[in-house]
Amino acid sequence: MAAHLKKRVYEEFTRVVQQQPLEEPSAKKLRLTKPSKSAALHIDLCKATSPADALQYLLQFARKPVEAESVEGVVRILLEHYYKENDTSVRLKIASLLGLLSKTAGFCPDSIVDDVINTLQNEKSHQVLAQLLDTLLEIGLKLLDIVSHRMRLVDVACKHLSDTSHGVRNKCLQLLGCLGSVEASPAKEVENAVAKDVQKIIGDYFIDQDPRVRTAAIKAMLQLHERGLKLQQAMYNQACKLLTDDYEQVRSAAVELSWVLSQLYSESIVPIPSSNEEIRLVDDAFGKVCHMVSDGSWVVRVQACKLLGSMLQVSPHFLEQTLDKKLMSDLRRKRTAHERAKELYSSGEFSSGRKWGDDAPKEELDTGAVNLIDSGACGAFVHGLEDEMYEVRIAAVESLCLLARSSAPFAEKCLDFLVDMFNDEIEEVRLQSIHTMRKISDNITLREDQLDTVLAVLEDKSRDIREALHELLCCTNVSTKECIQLALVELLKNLSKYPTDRESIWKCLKFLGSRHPTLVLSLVPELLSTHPFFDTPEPDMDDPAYIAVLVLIFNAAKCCPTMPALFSDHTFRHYTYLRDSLSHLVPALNLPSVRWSWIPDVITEAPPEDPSQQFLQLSLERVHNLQHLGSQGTQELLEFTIRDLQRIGELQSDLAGMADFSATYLRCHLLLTKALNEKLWNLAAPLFLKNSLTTNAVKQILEETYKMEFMYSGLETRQVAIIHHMRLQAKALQLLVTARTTKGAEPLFGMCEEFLQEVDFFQRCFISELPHMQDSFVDKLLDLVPRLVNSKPLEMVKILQTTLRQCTFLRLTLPEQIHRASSHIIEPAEESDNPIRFTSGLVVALDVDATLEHVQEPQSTVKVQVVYPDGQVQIIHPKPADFRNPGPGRHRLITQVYLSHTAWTEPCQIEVRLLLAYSSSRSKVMSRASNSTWGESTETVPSTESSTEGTIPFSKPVKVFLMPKPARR
Amino acid sequence: MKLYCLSGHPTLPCNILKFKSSTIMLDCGLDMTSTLSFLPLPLVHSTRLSKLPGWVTKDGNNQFEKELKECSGRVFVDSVPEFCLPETELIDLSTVDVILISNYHCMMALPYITERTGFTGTVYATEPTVQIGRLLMEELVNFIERVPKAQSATVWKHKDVQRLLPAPLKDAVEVFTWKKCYSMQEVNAALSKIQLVGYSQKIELFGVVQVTPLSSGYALGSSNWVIQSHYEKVSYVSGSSLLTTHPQPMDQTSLKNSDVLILTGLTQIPTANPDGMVGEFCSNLAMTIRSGGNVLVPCYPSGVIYDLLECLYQYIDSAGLSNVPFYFISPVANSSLEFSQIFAEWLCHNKQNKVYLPEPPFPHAELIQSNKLKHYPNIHGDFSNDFKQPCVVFTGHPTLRFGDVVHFMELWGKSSLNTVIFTEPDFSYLDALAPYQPLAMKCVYCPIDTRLNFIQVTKLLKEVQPLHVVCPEQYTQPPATQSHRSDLMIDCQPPPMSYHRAEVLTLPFKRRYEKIEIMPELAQSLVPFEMKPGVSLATVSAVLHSKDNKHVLQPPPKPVAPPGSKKRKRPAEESPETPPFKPLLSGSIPVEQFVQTLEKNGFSDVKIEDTAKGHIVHLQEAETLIQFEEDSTHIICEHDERLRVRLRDLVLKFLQKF
Repeated sequence: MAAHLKKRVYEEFTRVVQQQPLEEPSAKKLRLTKPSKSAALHIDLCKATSPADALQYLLQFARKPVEAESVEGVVRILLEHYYKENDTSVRLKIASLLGLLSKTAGFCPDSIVDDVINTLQNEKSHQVLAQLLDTLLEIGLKLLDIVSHRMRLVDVACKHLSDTSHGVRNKCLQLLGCLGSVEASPAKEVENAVAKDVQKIIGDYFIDQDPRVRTAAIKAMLQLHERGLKLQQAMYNQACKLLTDDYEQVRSAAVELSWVLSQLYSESIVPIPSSNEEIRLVDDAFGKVCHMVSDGSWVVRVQACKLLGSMLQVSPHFLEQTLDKKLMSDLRRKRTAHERAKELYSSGEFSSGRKWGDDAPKEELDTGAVNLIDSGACGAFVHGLEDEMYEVRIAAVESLCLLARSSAPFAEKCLDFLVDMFNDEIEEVRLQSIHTMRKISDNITLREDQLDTVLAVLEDKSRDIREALHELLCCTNVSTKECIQLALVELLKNLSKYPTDRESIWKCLKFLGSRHPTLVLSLVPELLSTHPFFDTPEPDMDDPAYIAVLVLIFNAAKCCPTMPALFSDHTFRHYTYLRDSLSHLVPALNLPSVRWSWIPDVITEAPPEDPSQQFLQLSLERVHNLQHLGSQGTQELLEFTIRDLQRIGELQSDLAGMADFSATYLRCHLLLTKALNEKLWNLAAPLFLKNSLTTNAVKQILEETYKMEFMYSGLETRQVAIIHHMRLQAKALQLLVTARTTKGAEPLFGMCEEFLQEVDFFQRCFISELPHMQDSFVDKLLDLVPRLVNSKPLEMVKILQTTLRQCTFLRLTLPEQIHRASSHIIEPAEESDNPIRFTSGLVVALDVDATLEHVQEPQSTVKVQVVYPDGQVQIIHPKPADFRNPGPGRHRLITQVYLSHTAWTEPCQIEVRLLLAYSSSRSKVMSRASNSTWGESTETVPSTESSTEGTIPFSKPVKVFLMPKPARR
Repeated sequence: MKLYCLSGHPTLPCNILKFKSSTIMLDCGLDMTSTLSFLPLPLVHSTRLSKLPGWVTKDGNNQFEKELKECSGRVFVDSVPEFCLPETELIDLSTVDVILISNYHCMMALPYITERTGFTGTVYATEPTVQIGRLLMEELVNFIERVPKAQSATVWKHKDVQRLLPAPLKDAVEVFTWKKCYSMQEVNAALSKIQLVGYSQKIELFGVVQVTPLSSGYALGSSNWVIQSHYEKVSYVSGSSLLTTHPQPMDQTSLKNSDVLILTGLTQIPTANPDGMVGEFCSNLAMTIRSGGNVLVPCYPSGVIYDLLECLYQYIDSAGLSNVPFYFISPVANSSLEFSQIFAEWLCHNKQNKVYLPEPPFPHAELIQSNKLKHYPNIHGDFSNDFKQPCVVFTGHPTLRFGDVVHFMELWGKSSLNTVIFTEPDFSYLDALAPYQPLAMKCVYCPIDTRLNFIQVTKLLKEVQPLHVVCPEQYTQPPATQSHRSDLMIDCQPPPMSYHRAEVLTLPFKRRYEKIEIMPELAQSLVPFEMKPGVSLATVSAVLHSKDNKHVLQPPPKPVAPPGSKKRKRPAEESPETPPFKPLLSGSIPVEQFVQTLEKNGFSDVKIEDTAKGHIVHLQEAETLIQFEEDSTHIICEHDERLRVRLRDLVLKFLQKF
């Protein structure tokens, strides 16, 4: 009986297996069972007894997205309800829902344009009207290509422009800005009567009574500009008038508009009011924007300061005024009596003599033009840099940077102002000005007093600022040897105060030395403290300060052949030591006395046919030619090749990724072959003991495949497929081992099913790669799938075993560049004797500083692992903000790790290391595959973020000494 | 005039008032009670929390196992805590013109509103509100960001599965609007949109309405707002207090004569007396210390803590606690203590006076100086070296879900010597403690809420006499736990209008008048004519000029002098060429008399029809209709101009001209 039952269960089970791979998990099918959205909405809305109820239903409804195909139905239902509804708030919500629905991806709203336009006819509420226009805007943006629709919408907007509500006018202007035709309207065309001059229409609203409408009009105009319409120059005067508006939003937008016009018509000539002179438009606009730097509202000031930076065509004459606070009346010059007389003369009118002073020139004063201080460009930057709001100061510094980069004389002049900004109270401003200075450093040479101010920043407690300053020093020119000495002294002070800055300071001195060899030359005896007669004591070689000095000197010596003559004996010895240990900081010198230097002088540029590259290819080629890996000889060959590859990786850093990758792959193969050649397979009887060797091999291969997939960047689908293939083989092996070592078939059911799913998954993901996998394991397996599906586990195991042994070695092709992710923990330093003390039970923060190379998306993958003395392991996720990105492929992690432990009294060591977390869903290939299958799933809740499946350690563990002390009483 | 109610929480309101052509958001409170459904975020990995069993439904469904954890019978979400936002879908928030903030607790949702909805307007708040609000936000962001969680739970939020969950989660409302915390960039961007205002400062909004902040007496810089046009006045009262604590006292008189009074932010614990609670707080604290335990006070970094420290300052010497250290741990502890001392103008009278002596207005300066109160930015670092037991620790966050308080709960929870004292009334202390159960520590609940209670409200309403009162629905009935206490609700005439989340209220008054100014020159030229005693009329012919929503009547433009007139020409005598004005008519036409007149003038068959709005006189012979309505008269006659003029003159005889 039992056997019978078992059989039935078994049969049922196999049937399930059979269906699993054939039936695609279809999302559509699920959807069919759901009640249609539109129907549900209709019922809800009919049920609603009061407007408040209806509103609640609509709110609920808005949370769920609607499929593209049912949008139209939903819109009809909503409109039907719209006409019936008396309550404005419900109509408002319906109007906004219409806009939301027309945004649905895959839905073409041209079928509902008419309906929405019709609703506008009878609408009384301004608020709903504005919302409906907003909906039309959404629709219009989706139908931007269809001219007829666009024209209609523009007509509708024009019709409603005369509405009394500011909201409606705003929306109309916005609609015109986004949809108005941007083709320069040709006058000849007959249609032109229809195609209205959008610019003119919008321009009329620059003088609207409501400030919000004025702002919207200017914004609409800017929108037209962005869409490629060339604005008319006539607008410039209007824009300038708006600069004196009472409302800051208007002024802020007007500044931008006048800036746009100044870029479009920079070379046109405009008259200066109250004078006969004319100047270029860009200069005039520059003056006006500069004037806005002293505006009352900081928002406008920021805007003005930002825009100044991009007005590069301005004349140097005006540019230099910005740094001068002296008031000039250049832009508002009064006409001289002589000029006025000339005007009178030319108009043919003379004094009648009837009245005294009849012809005296009258001062025509335009009350609008009178400003207490109409400064034009004068002192704009002086004001900007001294502004009370740091946002304005930052904007001013940025603009200064842009202008200085385009004009060397200006750079020279603004230097003093910029250096002053190094003392700003806000860190952001300091940082920004340091960066600015670095960017313009090609054009400038620092004086001693300036350098003094600059170097004072080295005491800043912010690491970012110090590092920025080091970079600045890397690329500045200084004028005298005192400057060099000053810089060195300050840097050494910095070094002793913040020892963590060591690397950055050394690098800084390297560039400082190589930029100023002659200045350093005169300082050498002093720096090395040599004496012509006496021997001085040999400095400590491990002293970072001494190394810093040497880095400076050696780099200077590279361009200064006379310098080595000043070195003492130990300096030469130190040179060889440093050249070996810090080769990236110390250049190769041609020193006569250093004979024993065996280090290659210059690392030769790798020629395209690099021998090591060739060697790598050759050894891989050799392995690939092997057909079967069974024999003893081939195994040895594999072992040797792996050894060779590893060695290449060590020697040649740019090939390391490739060599390691191939070596790992070969090692996997070797393990697999060895495992398959085990004797245990030849025994007929099942083994019920754990065979450690084979299980270990499986485990190891799996681990290595994960490493290969996630630790190397630059992999293509081909390689990923190969890695997965290897993993599949390992899994098959695992199945075999389990089949052999466990009793009974029950646990195998699950495993077999799982395995078949994997095969199926592999096939789906890498369908494009299958042709390249002739004769491979998976190729053969796929042929056998129908058989496998129907067979019992034990049969399946047998089939798998033969396939696994028959399959050939899959050739590994390498892409151009593969990089292995690596990391180095700078801090905490290894083997520190001083324990970190903290009160037991409380928390201690451990600073971790590490560099990461070739890690993709470190924010989500890099974790910190802490191993406590009692073996407890914790994985800590650093904050995304803790990662900085100093260069392509490089990242820096500066974070704090919080530690605590209660049951702990003795000083102990903990281990800190970095981990790379992975999950199979993170893999690019997988996500692509899953996108194509379930891409249309339209649930509002985003799928759960990929959770971590496993981790790969990728840095050396660092031991930290911690000493808890009991809490004081 | 409409009121869009975006938040249902009575003390964390978020309403939008549409008034004239302006859209004003009143406060934007962030409901943090939602975080109580989440597991605490420990600073250091906690073995206890990580070992909590996953929650499985009764029928063995384990789809929630990863997201939901069970702790002594309650289920919590294992994810980054999320907050319940105001309803953002009810109205397009990009149309909001201004946001008025009444106090720093009511601005916590600001970054969500200003940074994620396309908001382009301005925010108005007083300086202490902004500064302390920034501290609160900074602290919140810091607490949440410093311990990132790898995964966030979303499955439990699905509507169809939420039903299956156990009680507190099942009933959680609006879970779809729950959002993760904002970032510091968003906070900075949001705060940069704020314009600072002072009490009683009048702020014009686009010339449409005027808004004024008034002191509300609840916290440093807390304000009520008056929003008025020339003929209407709306008052917004939120979080006010009549008790004399540290802030400036409440300004009640300016609230008088309001058409509508929106009343929010009353006390959350109407049955507790703040003074009594402070006493209880002190005695519990002393008792625990004497028995050798530690005291933990979960609190916000600003607000009631100043008053608590002041009470303790007076209390410790008498209770013999002078050598017990007080620790205040918060990333913003230092700023909070320092800021409180410099906002002299926002303090109550006694404290202001101290500044002139000069002395620090708050006594905690002295506590710091004598090393009794120490403050630290966080639990690691210096605090670890100075830590001495027994002690009193003030630290955040009052939800006990994040912040340094979590660590202390884990550290001290096991000993019955220690005590945790809850003073903030915003969160239920039992819910807050739930994930720490079983707990040996003593728990004392002394909520201190200085906001108005219902007795004070009744008195206030009697005094300021608003025409209508609008309040959250919670205030219109007694609390559910004490349904017999009919005194715990707002009682006024007419009964208050109540609102709940996502409701739109139409406020019961219509605007009738708009102010128009007359230029002096024009006013001079007017010739009033007395209609009846006390009522004079004058015709005005002028040009209505509108700019920035201000309307001005200006004299009509003079006809432009013909071009080409030479400068030298003597100025031509400008005849005051005012265009002939049509006389204005007034009065009503008695139909019977009119018909008689018609008959006198030879119109024979006149028929009168009564309509809803007036009368129609039908001259059948001439095929002519004369319509009399309340505000218009039409003579409809075809082609016969002479007849029309005759009829018109007849009609005009009945009307008064001037």
